Amino acid sequence: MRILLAEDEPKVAEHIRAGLISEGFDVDVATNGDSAIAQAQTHDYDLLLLDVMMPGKDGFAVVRLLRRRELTTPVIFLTARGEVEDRVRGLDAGADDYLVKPFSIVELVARMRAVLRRHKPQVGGVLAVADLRLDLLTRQATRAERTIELTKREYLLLEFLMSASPRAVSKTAILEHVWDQHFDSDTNVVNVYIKHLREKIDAPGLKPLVQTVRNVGFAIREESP
Amino acid sequence: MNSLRRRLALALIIGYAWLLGAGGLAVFHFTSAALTQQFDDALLGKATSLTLLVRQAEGRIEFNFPDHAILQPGTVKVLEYFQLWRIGGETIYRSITVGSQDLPRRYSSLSQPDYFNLELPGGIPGRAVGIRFPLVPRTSRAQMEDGPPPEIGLVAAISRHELDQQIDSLAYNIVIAGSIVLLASLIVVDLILWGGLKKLSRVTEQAQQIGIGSLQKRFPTKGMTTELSPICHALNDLLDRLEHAFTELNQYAGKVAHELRTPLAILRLKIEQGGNRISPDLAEELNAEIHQIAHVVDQSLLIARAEQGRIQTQACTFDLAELLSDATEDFSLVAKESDRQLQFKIGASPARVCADPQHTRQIVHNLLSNAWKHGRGKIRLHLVGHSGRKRVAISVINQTPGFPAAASSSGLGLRVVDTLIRLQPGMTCKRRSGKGYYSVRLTFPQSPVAP
Repeated sequence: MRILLAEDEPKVAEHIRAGLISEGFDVDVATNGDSAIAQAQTHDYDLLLLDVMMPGKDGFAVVRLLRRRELTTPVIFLTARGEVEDRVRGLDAGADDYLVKPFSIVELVARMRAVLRRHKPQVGGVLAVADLRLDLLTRQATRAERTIELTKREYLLLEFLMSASPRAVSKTAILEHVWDQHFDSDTNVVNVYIKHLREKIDAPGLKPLVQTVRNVGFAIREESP
Repeated sequence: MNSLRRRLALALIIGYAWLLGAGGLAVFHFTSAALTQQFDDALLGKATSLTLLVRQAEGRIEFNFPDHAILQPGTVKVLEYFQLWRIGGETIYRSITVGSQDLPRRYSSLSQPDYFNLELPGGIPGRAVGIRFPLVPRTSRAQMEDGPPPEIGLVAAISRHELDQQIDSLAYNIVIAGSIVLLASLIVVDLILWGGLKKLSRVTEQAQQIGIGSLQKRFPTKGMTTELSPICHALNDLLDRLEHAFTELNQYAGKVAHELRTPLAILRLKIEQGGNRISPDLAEELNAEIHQIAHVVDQSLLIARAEQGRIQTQACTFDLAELLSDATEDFSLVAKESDRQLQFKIGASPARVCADPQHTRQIVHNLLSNAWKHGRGKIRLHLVGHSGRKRVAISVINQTPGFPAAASSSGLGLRVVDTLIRLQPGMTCKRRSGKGYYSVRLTFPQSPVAP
């Protein structure tokens, strides 16, 4: 998949680019709003990642202009401005999602995949790891033909873990993705939810899928033999 | 009486009423004086005609008065009163109308007659003129025989009813005309002021429309009066500066966020990509610290923006019990896995309140987080009141035996709580702390209408 990243801070751009390439994406970089518009109109990108505060046209102006020109490529804003009003403004301008810095690559990739799924449902409305399936439209999880009842946060946690699978995700990344309220990292709320999720998914007799990766975080994957 | 229009109208009308009153009094004074003069002239004419009817003949004084009544101009008969004296001597004639009474003995020369008011028999108010004149002999021979003619004093009086009636009518007409003019003036003045102050109303209306979100609006300057135009220009200049400062402030907050978050983002990405060069637990520890710093940045910016009046609340009606159930779910689950005790008394009945649900959720979360972080004992959250009561309140009580009272009374989380509470109209917060406990009681205005 080809991605356009518009980011004026070279170090941030380089690290995001490297992180996305390691996840299998092709990434072009634009350093200001005007070149982002030019590149987006010239090439056929699957997704645009735009910084909001850029020299020349800012991210909001870039999206508004592209939408006026009927370019429907999905857009995610990457921004240092996390206020609710800014989020609303960004989404109103025509963006599909809004990610506040600092973020992890895992979080970014999860958001990108979610946006791509919304835009191209044929790409896959179902996440699957071994015999565990999560239907993103009906928000229903099944394993071994058994429906698993999930609370709202359990669903968000499972979706995040399955999106990143087989990679492990850190507690911090989980806290940032699943909870809109801040929890101190020493609160064991993530461990508690992982425990509940494990009880529901890894029922007796089934291969354990929810893994604790020592010193890293958690993953959903089949245990290595 | 705070309306400028009313004050001006009142001041103008009071001033005008003074002028009108003074003018009315002057008109009354001069006109009544002229009427009295006219009346007196007529009275003197009558008195003079009476003197012609008195003659001296053969040492006697003769009278040839046609009647005791005199025909007045027009058709009205007015009784006439008069009395004659020999100067320095006895009464020589008294009209029947005077009866047995004496009129006042006041008289002076014909060239300077003495006019005065008096009470006539029967209590009738009257006006009199007193003159003295020499008695005219019937012939020059008689004059030679009788010697020098004696001087006679005459006081003639008539009722002043007609004069008083005219003066009263004059006063009445002046008062009526003055009142009508004053009333008409009041209407005209009010209309003029309304027209003049209409532009001021436009300025006021425009000022009311200018808020934090509409600092680009300006006061109208076209068609303004010379008094209002400089005010509008000065206000527009002030708005220019305010808008500029506000934009600067807004950009500054954005720049601060950018300056702080960008290095954190670089750090975070570097840690992730350097995963194979640093130990995973160190990486997670660093990520957690970055997460915490980013949170502090968020909370500080939120407080700063609230203090600048740049956070808008979106109050609506919601069920507080439902929000609390959701907000406490995480803490309940975490408490079950640890040795902390959490007691939530929320109740089943709906407790509809009117507030910003996002802010309320943040307030509750911060209070519970604070209790969780700074306490070690039991945390109680109670919801008091429900639909049907005037107020709904929640209490968060953090019981930690042996814990100092001041330990949980400060910090960024509670500053955010205070800030958000100030934004909610009608929401109040009471805190109590003592040895081993800390409690916060939030009171919400209850929604009058169910959602």
